[in-house]
Amino acid sequence: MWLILLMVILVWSGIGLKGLRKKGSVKDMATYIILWAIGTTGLMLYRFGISIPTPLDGIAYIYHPLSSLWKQWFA
Amino acid sequence: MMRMEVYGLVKEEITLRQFILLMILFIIGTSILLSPASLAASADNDAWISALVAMGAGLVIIVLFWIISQQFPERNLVDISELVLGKWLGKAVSLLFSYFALISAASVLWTVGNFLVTQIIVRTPALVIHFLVMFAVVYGIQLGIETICRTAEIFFPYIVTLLSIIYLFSIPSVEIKQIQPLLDSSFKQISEGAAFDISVSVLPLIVLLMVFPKYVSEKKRMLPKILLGYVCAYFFIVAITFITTTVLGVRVTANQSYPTYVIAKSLNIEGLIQRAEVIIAVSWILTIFFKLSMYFYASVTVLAQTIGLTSYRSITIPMGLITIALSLIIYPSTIYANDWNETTWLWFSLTFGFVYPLLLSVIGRLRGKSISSNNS
Repeated sequence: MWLILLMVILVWSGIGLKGLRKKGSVKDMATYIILWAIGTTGLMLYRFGISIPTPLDGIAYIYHPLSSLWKQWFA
Repeated sequence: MMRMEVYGLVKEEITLRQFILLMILFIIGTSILLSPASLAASADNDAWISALVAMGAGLVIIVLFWIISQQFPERNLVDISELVLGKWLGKAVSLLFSYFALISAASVLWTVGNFLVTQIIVRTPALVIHFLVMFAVVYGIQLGIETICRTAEIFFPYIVTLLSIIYLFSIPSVEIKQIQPLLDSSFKQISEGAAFDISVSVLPLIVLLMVFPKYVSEKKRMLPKILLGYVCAYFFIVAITFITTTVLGVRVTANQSYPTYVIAKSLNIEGLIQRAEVIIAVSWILTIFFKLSMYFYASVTVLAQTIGLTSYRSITIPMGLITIALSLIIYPSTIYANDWNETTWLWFSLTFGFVYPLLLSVIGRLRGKSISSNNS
């Protein structure tokens, strides 16, 4: 299933890239390629069971002082 | 290809009625299924009063959003940020906002997957559900905000009818003694429940400022209609909180992940109407589709506009893929999700749903002269 999914992703991104090339916007093409690469890498890492830290950990770290204050207030 | 180009050129426009329906579905979104449990856990017998308090406090936030929309009537959030904060700081803040919307979209997608996998289609991999839901969302966003709003217009009566069935048929099972003594909870408990409810239902409405008022065609007497729509939407949350706590009891409601679904499961009208839980599942998935679509729309359009792409449509599919990948790793477990939502989500949504618009409004007023001179 994953192989089919990867093939679909690659073909789909190729079709989209072809369309953007005709339009001729380099910025659009670069953004498109970077976002496809991030998305596909994320899915493949998940497929191979390589653990990626959740971005929520970083957000929780930033808000830690406020959330601990909240916990104390409502304890 | 031709179609894409045409879409890129057409200026989108929605009616105020369509916008209000979208707002109602956005507010109901995840709250209809999740709010009763969190409200009952915080405010015990007074869970529905806590929801009423949330409704009252939420009015202030709605008015704040409206004030900003009147301050900058022909602009969306990205325009306002760059105008008020300057080009680079404005762009940096807009990128953070896009990240907020993307994280919110991924968490909503995870919630849909978790609900379906734990309650209805138990042995289906979450990835398949996430792909199917996201496919519909990406397709909708590719077609544009007008299409999403028209879809909201079509589905709204069905959603209200389906929810009303659950509400009406639950009334015979209501036992007021389940929530007695009334007003037994402290102010702290009630305000804790209300704060969490606002963070889920009202603060994320900031993403609608990417649509409102820029794309809304009629701009007269908007505030009373928007407030009426908001109160109608919150009525659903207050009513379902009252029904779940009076039918299931406060403790059972607080201990369930999806108390509204449990209510629907227990419905039995003279043996004729049974297994009505799918009704609530369908109506919930429909409402959550709009909530997810608006989060996703905000993340994609904010990113595209901030980095100056010719059209946001070129990045919807890869952004959809990123949302799916993110939704698979965002919450390692339900316990993590509950803990994060209880401790961090409130502050995260408060930053972008209250502090950010408030600062934009205040700084905008302080820099009023320079902004108006830039405009002219």
